[in-house]
Amino acid sequence: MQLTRRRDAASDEAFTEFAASSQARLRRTAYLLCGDWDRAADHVQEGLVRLYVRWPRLVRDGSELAYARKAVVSAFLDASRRRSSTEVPREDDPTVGSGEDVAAAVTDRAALLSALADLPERQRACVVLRYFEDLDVRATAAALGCTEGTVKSQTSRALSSLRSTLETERSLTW
Amino acid sequence: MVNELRELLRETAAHPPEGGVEVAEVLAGGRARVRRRSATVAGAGAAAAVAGVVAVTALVAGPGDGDAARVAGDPGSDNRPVGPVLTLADARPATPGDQLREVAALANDDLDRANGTYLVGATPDGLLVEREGPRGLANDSLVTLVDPATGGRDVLPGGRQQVEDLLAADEDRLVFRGQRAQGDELAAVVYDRADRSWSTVRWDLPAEVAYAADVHDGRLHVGVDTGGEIQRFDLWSLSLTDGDDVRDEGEVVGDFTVGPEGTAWTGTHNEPNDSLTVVDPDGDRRTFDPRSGDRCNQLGMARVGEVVALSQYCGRTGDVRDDRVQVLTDTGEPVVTIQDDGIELAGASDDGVLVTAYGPGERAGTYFYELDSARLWRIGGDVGRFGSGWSGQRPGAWFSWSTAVNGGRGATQHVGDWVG
Repeated sequence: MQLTRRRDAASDEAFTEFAASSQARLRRTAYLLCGDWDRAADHVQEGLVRLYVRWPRLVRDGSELAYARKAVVSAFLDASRRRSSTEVPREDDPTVGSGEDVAAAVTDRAALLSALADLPERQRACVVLRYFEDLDVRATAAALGCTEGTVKSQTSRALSSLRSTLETERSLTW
Repeated sequence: MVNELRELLRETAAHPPEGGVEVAEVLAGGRARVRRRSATVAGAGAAAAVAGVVAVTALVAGPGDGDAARVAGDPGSDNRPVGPVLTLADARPATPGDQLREVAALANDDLDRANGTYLVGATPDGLLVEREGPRGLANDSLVTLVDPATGGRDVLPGGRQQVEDLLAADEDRLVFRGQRAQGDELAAVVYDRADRSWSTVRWDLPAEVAYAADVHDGRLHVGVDTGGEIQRFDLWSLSLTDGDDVRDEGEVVGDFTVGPEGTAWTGTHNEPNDSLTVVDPDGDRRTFDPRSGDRCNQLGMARVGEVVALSQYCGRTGDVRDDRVQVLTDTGEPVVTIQDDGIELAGASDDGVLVTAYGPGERAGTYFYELDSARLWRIGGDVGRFGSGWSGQRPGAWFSWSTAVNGGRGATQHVGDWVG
């Protein structure tokens, strides 16, 4: 029979190394999904725990990062379902000042976060995975557990909404 | 256009505050979850195993939430139980001798300090399977067959074995889950009662074994991860004598039982369920809606004879949980729903359904729903933190429950049968 990798000290060490090296990137992705750094850390933690459960198999397949990304997105979507359907994450970026005299770039970032927060979660995830993680449609569909057609349609709707919101409210033209 | 969006996304996420994720916490959380999943392999889904022996001896943390996130349902949905409903307040105390006969008892005074000795199941010929451990660096256990009628003890030859939960016990063999079987590999340690010898069989599966195990007709049935999260599994069966004999049964299941009554499974696990499929031994198959509440997460299952019991978490009102044990026939007729705060299905025997109620509170303990009288009985007090329970169909419908001792640091395990 084929030998399979066991969960042992070496495996845990490899996982620890992967978690340490990937968490910053995953946290940024999670932040764009939820708009809050603390919650982003929670989603990454949950995603990495899910990753740990499947780690021996993933290492064999070489699919650690893809699964980690998928697990973080799933953790975000699960948490979103738990939250009130009327509650939309809109917390301010703590690295951004407030007030009328903030720099335009900072305002753009705040506007983007706000516009992202207005999107349904799956549309938001499509945008983040496609244009922040630079995943293609197939990889995005795999991460979200949906069809490529769904990714295309959700992304299209999301871009349309973002364009409308940002152009209207913030005079951004992209 | 999207290039500007890419740039804006990167700028927005470019300056995280200090802190983030503690990898040590992730590691601890991951290990804990692996342990829970491993325990689940011999847990609720296996509660009605064919040989009448399914054991769970574990640190009890109370009934699982079943992730309330998946409790969806539209606002107009009906979450009410169907058929008669009982609560723990309806229970009357069972009297030893009148309703209940204790066959054996075994106390572990201080499980906080060290692992103990447990009665993990029974054979059809009336012997109890006792496991001491696992202990020590090798994490191994000593297995003994005990005759409760005479007190005779047969320490199995071969010394200590690296075994986990007892999956099945019949006239021919004892089947334990092997230790350190993780990922896509599963191992069983089998004791041949005629040869008085141990052997190990390993199977390499296409994906991780995720949930539940039942033994029937010389094959171990397991749920294999379908690649999603933890709501559905592919049902596979594995030969107990040939590690290369693995078979995809071609069914996607939630919770399941496999036994002489046939096979039964729910449509989902850990989310609302509207499907129960029953396949009789002659192949007759039927699927129906068990009419569980629309917002009840399906968590566990047991079956005995023509009765199916489902364990569910149906939400929370304030601090009060809506936990249910729904009992119905295998054709979909409602029998009863036991509904209360902090209860879960512990098993089923020929005579009824075993329910554990977790504390604190006076109502914490073990309860038995007697099918013949349609009454709910309280058979034991607070189970404490260390629960060790199993149920079976033979001999005499023995089942096991625990009561806390030594201020909750230990537990006494009881084995008894229902005399009604």
